[in-house]
Amino acid sequence: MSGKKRTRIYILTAVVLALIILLPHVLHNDYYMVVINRILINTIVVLGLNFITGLTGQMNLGTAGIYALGAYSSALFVSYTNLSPWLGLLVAILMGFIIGRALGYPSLRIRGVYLSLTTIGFAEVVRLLLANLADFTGGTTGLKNIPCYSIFGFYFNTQTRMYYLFVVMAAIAFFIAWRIVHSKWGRVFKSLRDNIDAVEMTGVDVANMKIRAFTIAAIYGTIGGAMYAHFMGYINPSTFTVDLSTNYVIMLMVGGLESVVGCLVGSAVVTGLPEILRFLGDYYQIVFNAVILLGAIFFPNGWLNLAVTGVKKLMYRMGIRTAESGGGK
Amino acid sequence: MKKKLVALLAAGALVVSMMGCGGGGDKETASNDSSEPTTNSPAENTENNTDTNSGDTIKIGLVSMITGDNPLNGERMNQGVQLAVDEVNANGGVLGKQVELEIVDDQTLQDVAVTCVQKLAADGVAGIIGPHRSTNAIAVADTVASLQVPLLTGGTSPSIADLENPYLFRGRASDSIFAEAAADYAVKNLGAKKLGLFYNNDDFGTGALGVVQAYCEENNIELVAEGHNTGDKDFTAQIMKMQTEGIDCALIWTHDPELAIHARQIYELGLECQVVSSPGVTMSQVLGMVEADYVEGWYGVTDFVSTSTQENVVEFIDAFKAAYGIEPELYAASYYGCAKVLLQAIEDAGSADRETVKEALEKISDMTVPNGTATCDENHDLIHNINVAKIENLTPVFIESVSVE
Amino acid sequence: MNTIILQLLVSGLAMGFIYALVGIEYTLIWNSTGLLNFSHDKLITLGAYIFGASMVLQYGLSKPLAILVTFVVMFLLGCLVALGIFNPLRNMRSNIFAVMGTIILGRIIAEFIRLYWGPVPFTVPDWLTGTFNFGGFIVTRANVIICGVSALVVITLQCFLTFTKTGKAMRCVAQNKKAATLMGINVSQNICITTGISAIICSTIGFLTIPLFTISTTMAATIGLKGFSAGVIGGFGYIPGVIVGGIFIGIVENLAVAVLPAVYKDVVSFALLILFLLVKPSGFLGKRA
Repeated sequence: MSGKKRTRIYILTAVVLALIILLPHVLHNDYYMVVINRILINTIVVLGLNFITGLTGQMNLGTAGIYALGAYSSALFVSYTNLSPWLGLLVAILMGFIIGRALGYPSLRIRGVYLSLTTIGFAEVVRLLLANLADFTGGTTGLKNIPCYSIFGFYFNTQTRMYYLFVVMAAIAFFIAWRIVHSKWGRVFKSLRDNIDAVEMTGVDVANMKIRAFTIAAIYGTIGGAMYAHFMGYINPSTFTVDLSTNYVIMLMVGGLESVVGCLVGSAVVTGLPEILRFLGDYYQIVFNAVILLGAIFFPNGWLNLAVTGVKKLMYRMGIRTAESGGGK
Repeated sequence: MKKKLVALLAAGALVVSMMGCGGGGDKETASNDSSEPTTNSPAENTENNTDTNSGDTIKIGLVSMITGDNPLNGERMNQGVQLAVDEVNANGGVLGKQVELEIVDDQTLQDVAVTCVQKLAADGVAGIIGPHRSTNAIAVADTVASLQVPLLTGGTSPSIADLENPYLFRGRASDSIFAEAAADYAVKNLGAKKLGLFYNNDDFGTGALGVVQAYCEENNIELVAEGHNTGDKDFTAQIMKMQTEGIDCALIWTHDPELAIHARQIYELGLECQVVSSPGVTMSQVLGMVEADYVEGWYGVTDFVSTSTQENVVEFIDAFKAAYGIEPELYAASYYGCAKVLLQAIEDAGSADRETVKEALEKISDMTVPNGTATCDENHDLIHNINVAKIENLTPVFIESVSVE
Repeated sequence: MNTIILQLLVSGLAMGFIYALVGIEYTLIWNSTGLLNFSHDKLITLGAYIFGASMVLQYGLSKPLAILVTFVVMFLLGCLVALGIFNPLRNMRSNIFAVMGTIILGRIIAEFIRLYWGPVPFTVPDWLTGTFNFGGFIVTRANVIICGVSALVVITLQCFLTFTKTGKAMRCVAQNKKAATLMGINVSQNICITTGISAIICSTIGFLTIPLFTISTTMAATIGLKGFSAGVIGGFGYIPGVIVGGIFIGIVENLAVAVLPAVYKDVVSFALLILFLLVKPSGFLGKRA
């Protein structure tokens, strides 16, 4: 790596950092902050989903169930014990670990469409149980007055404060996901999707790796769920439907499978685009869905890839960059 | 050289961000004193609060459910509120300014509802109407309090009053009134000895379940309750159980599609009993889904009867028909009422400042709206009376008006 | 007590036949493309709207004619779905694209229905209503007709698959796409026809459920998912299996409420789904896991 390039990276990092820090004060509008906070939460969930659906190629349509269990385990723990939401987050992570194991083992026996259906069934059972075990979960009335996160008496109780907290949490999640995807594990995950028999032949413990992918994904999902609970202050089983699960897969698809940055792009597009399209009035949902569908048909590598390729081509044409130099994912 | 540049840039960014944070910090500490810190409620966003007065128009917002699983409800909400705004504008507006209505769609989702409220507040509305679902109203409660913007919902769940949220008002009677009136009517007027309650297992139905259970315990009435989920299509099991139990009056507390299916199956399976139902049965959309025989002689408790002969109701119905070519039902009527109340409050307040509007809303009393008389009580409930209607040949006929408390 | 059980059995049987039809409709597509059509519940709703709102109430066609026209429209629409979604997306590197394609298509159809026909729920007057009374035991006409028509659909479909050239080609494609291509079968065209037939079955489900569910934008939401349970329990991708699975689910979930609180009815079918996937993924009649 040349010194020139290193400097360029430093500048880039500094600019990005400054942008992230300054964003709330530039926008100065809580409406944008809510949307951005939702994008950050969704990014964490999609980063997890990427491990199952993106890398190991197993269709998980039960994200809503994982997300719901994360939200409820943290919120219920906090409201029954009156302890800090941070401990609730730990409970949610533990819950994610359990779900990952519980869903991972079946994934060893069942593949493809069977797994999709199992996960749908799982999510629906979770939702119906949360709604019907009213004495414990608050039932369909939902769970109110969930406290927000705090550190040493400083409360993350406004959209801007939550934004700073969520940016840090999302950044950590992002960094870890990045490291895993670009490590040996990440490569094994991908090969599980591409040629599982070949992986087994090389002596990798396939079962263990599959369960590992599920566990990481479930933990990301439950962390996202816990953040959602403390972000909203109120949760209700009617949020966690199959529609929500499919939304996450759409985010993944829009971002481009297996790309970590893509997860951020996908969640930003799927959460933010309907808000941008609101000026279309009655037609905004149908236009949004049509855009996503056409995107899936014509740009199957994701919008990020499209943008990156476009920018590269442009730069190449303008003579700024040679075709070989890096960038991308 | 380059390295120095980087360092400079980074330092610059840091300084600017510190300044930014510092600015935010001042505001935060200022607002922290007045509020309890453990929930999400305290305010920061006061800077958006001032622009409600500027400009030639006064803006109000409507959080509607245009897409999602109950689009009809949203369409009627839009029509009712739009009619109220048009009428007021035709009469010279409020405080001499025209009223502008901004409608946003919450997709019947809770996090989107919060986003919608934030959007409306940022766009400088003086007050917000909706969201309709009680669960969504509860979800936005903290946000509404932190933005200090008054919000009128039509969610009827008793748990909304429990929130004790100073900025949340309710433009329809609480379910505790509805359900109690229904049970009371069944027992006192229809002479029921053993009640059967078909309830939807969501916030709407379970709220009624609690109220009816308490009522029956108090009055020593036997109660059989059977639940179902939203989206269920077959209630044979529940109806057969009621039949074996031998109930003499059924209360049905559920949403429109399930209500229509109950009507058909109760008729087909021959469950012989009187029926008192949640408001849905008096609405054209449910009556349009059933044959006349299914619901003949049913009673419904409702906030609005479209065949009422009260002068203001007739006026409203005529205006609605002239505007949209269809008969209004209770959603249109209640949200028309909400809009009228909100606009009246702005007029009373003498400004579109949110805090004054909120105080004016608290002072609303004896204002006639299509769904009753609006008087704000300490729970911020505006409507305290409901009507009982009987269905005769697919037409709801007004029987009597009940007010509880 | 006995009448209750009997009553539950009858309504369970009718729902079972509906699940079985749902199962058949997506199994056809599954066999020819290897993909699940997650927009099927929206296609069912669309069929009901085209029949009820447009053909009968708007244009005032007689009901048999309305059914016929709806079949033609839905068949063409099915072909369009195959051309627009299944054919371009089925060969992508991951089948996520095709599955998500159908889900987004479902959302687009739902929005289209709301924008075009409006959100007001309604029903078709005098359509399959009424009851038969066997000495105090009541059976609705709709339930009897559902069972009859479903049986008819199954028989017609079997005849079609066994005796016609197109049907044989469809079975070929289901077994081995590569071999079918080598034998000169046009796989893409075949998928078009299969999707069209599937859309016709969808609209049949739509007509049959109008008296039970009434017509609204969310009328088919639950039966879509339960149809998948039916497939797994009976044996995925195998039409007789799907029929058995559908009837089994319909009856079991209805009888379960005699023991459990009625709100757990939906839990029963999904719990059965998971149980079968874990214990016997091949289902009752399936050949392989």
